[in-house]
Amino acid sequence: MRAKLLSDIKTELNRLTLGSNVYATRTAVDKLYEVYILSCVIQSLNLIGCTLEARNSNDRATTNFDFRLSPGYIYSPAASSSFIHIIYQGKEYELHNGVRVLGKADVLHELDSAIITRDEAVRCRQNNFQPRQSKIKFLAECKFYGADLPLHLGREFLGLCSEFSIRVKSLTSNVGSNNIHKLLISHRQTENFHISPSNPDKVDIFIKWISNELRQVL
Amino acid sequence: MKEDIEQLRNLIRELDLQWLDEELEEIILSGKLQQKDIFESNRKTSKGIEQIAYTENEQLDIIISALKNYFITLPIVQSNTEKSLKESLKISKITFYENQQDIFNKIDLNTQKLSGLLNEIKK
Repeated sequence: MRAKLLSDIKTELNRLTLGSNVYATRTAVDKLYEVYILSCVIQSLNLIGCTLEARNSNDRATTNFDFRLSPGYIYSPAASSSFIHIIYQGKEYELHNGVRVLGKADVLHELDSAIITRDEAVRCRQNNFQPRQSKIKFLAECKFYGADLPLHLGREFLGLCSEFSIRVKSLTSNVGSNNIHKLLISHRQTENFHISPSNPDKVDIFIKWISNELRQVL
Repeated sequence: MKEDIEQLRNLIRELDLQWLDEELEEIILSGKLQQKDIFESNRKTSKGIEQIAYTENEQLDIIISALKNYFITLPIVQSNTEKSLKESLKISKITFYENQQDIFNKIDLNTQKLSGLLNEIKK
């Protein structure tokens, strides 16, 4: 009975893994979740009445949206993803996935999801510069895990936060961790845990939280 | 219980999901933190935190939770994301590039049978 159950589980897992190359590497799974969170940010921007347009890495309107697996430079069309052009109350911004930006210490950091002022993004594309942390309005780190998040991810997020003097920063995950929660609140940082289609109520709260925060900073 | 844990871990390795096996190893080895009363001269003086190992039952829960997240929730994440991006940005095609190749194909959303089987393990 037990052997049959495990054999059936193996058959099902085999069918799913052979059917999709998403499971070939951890990186592909991470990217999928980053893009899911990006879609939540887009819903937040829609909630506050932003005008959004998909643009390719050459800054032209597009109906084909490309994501790159590895983080890229904003000025390198071959290496960077498409992005979303935002207009909010007459001001322009860009929403990026997997982009490298300069922190306070003038070292590069990879942001899973980031809103950058339009002027800065254009200047960087034209001059082969990296966006500066002072021009970032929002950042989210995204972690898809099987069970509890390991504590080192909380420590890494705290390190990242110290490099960005902005208000809206979030460690976002489909799972949670009591220890990371305690660590982040003691340093006045924000987590949004259990964000996945399995918890639609939490997703709804997350989207509303982002839109409220963005109304204060955009 | 121990046999179930070993067989599920073996199954994950046989499927070449090395990254998932490593993640489970990290979580299980790190254990959990638990509050503990500290006694001095037979008198409780304060509370401390100790690190303890997961029980076999908890280890099995961790493995089942991971399989559910990666093989039942993730396909829905992929499907919802694609739908949401296409609707909100009016785009027709989404591509995930690695070395000039589209590396993502759709994960099968038909995971009901797997869900039922994973629930059976704990019965």
